[in-house]
Amino acid sequence: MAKKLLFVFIAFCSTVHAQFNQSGNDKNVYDFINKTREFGKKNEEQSYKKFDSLKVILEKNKKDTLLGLLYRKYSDVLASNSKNKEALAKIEQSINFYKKGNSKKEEVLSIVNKGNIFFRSGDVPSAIKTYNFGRNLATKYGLVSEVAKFDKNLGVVLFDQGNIDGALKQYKIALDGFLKAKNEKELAGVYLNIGNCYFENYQTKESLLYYNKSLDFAKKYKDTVNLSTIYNNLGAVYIDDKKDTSTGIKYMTEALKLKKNGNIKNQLIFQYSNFATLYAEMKSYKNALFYNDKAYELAIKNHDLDNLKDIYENYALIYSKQGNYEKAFAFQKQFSSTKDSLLNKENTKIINEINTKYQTEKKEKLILEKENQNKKKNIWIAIISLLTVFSSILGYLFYRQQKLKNKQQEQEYKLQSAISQIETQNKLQELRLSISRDLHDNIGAQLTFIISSIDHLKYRNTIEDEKVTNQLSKISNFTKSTITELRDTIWAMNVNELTFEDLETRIFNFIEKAKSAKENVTFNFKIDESLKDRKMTSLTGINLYRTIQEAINNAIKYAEADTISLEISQNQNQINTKIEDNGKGFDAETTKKGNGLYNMDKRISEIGGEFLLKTLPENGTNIQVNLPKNLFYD
Amino acid sequence: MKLTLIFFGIEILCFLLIFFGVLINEKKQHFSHEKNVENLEKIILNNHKKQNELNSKVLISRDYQTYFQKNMKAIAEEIVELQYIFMQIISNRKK
Repeated sequence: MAKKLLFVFIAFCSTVHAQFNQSGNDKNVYDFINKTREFGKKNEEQSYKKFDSLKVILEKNKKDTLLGLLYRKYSDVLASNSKNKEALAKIEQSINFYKKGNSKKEEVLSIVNKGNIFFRSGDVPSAIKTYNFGRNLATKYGLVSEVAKFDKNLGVVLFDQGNIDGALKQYKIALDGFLKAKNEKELAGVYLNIGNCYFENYQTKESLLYYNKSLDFAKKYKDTVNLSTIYNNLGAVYIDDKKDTSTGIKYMTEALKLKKNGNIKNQLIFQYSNFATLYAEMKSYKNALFYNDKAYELAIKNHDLDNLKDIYENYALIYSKQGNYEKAFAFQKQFSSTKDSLLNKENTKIINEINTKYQTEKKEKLILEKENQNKKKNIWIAIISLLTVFSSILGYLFYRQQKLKNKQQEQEYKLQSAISQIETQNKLQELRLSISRDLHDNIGAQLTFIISSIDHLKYRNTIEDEKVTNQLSKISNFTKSTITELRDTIWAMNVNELTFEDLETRIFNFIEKAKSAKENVTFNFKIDESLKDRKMTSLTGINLYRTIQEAINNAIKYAEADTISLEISQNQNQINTKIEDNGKGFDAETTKKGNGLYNMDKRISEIGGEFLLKTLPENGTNIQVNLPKNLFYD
Repeated sequence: MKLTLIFFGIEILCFLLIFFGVLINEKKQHFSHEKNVENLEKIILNNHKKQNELNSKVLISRDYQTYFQKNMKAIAEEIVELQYIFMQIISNRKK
């Protein structure tokens, strides 16, 4: 009996909604929706029409929150008329609209309703799943009271499955939640549920304590739905456990009054039937028949077969106790046939449900298969696309690598071409030099022959003519200077680079020869010690040497100097060679430059140096050769 | 499904292997090229130096040739002058 009472209570609890803070037109719409829902209790079809027309208006005005409420109430009416499938569709829409309108609390409350619909339609796993999902969402949103509601509903599920201890635990968690959220309106319900658990466990004292607590809050908040259930349950405790029939009847009468006022028909039938059973047990058959008749009338009116079955059973019991076995037998027969018809109805319902479930599962399987096929197809498309992308990337990489290779090869080929060009030129120059060397050797031999021939002529000269002797000396001198020049050239050509030390030795030799030719001339030769190891190309060396040679020759030959100074030094950027004499000098502006001076200037300019001449008549000559330091290296 | 995913994984693995292989090869090629270029540049530098030296020597040689031609011309003139003196002496003796 307590289980039945509890179920009725849950059905009503699910219709409790959160408060709205509406204004203006929205407030009117809000009231209208609530009224339509109440109207739906009496006239189902009319209320659907009202909901549908209001839905069109709200959708047009995009009132998401009100649409959420409308669908929830619509779902309530459908669920209360056992149209669970449609109710689920509507509550789903309600959740979506609340989500869209960002009404978190209302969204969570609609999820509570969704769970309730599942539970009422007997789909307990879906109900538990929905409650848990809603509970997590409420926790996420920080809605303490709503979390407690889910805990309470999970307790109801456990209670329904016979897990009384689990349900009690869950209800106590819910109780803590409601206390924490200071939601006293919900306390009556949760205390009632706890009381029911204790009642089921035969803990009369505890159940009475919680029923009384529940009674206090139900009275405080005029919660007639819970109040009638509490009175009924209190009555049951007093009659069944405490054997205090008068107090029990007192409470049950209160419950009956409330149910009559509330016009809750199926509960009223149930209450009348309870009274009939009670009075039959008390052997007050008149009263028992009175209440059973009332229950019968209402049950017939409402086509309530479930209660009708119990009413027939009551009749059979009352008449059998009265000794009217004929009537008792007739009612027992009716009881059996109603029971059978209910059983058939239930079986058909179960078969239909199983069939629906089978069809749904079949469809779901088909959908799943299609989804899998699509998934596979998509994966293959992804693989092929990736393969294409990879191939393109690799193709590009190979192309780039090949291009780079070609470019590099081209660069290397250019460098190799340059090398072979230089090598060819070098070979040509080497050939020229080889020919030159042969020529020089030949010239050297011929010149030596000329000199020895002239010397021979001089010794054997029988013609004592001064002119002849002078002419022979002239030829000999020319030849000697040519051979000296040749030796210098060969010296320069035999090496790739010269040091200042080599140059110093060469200049010394030259000065020694000059000294032997002109004995009264004093030579001063100084070279910077730090320069001695510095190197230069043979061209720079020979040009500098020949310039010095020319300058000294000029000083001896034309200036008639008796002191000639040669100094090689360095400053920060240049290496300076200074050749000074105390000869007769000349006027550089008026005197035309001879071949010697011109050649000196040309040689120095050719190697990138600077040739400076300072001279005045009777004031000696100063020649300075400045060569940049980059012509020399270590 | 599992096979497809394995295939997918192998595909990615192969791509990554080839990708890195190509990149490594490219790097190797680059280093090898740089080394080659460096060597070639060294050879060019040496050849250039040698060319300069040879050019210097050729210039020195040419310079001497100019000098030699000039001197030989002077010697030839002096020899002609000597011949003239000899001619004079011979003609004086005949007289």
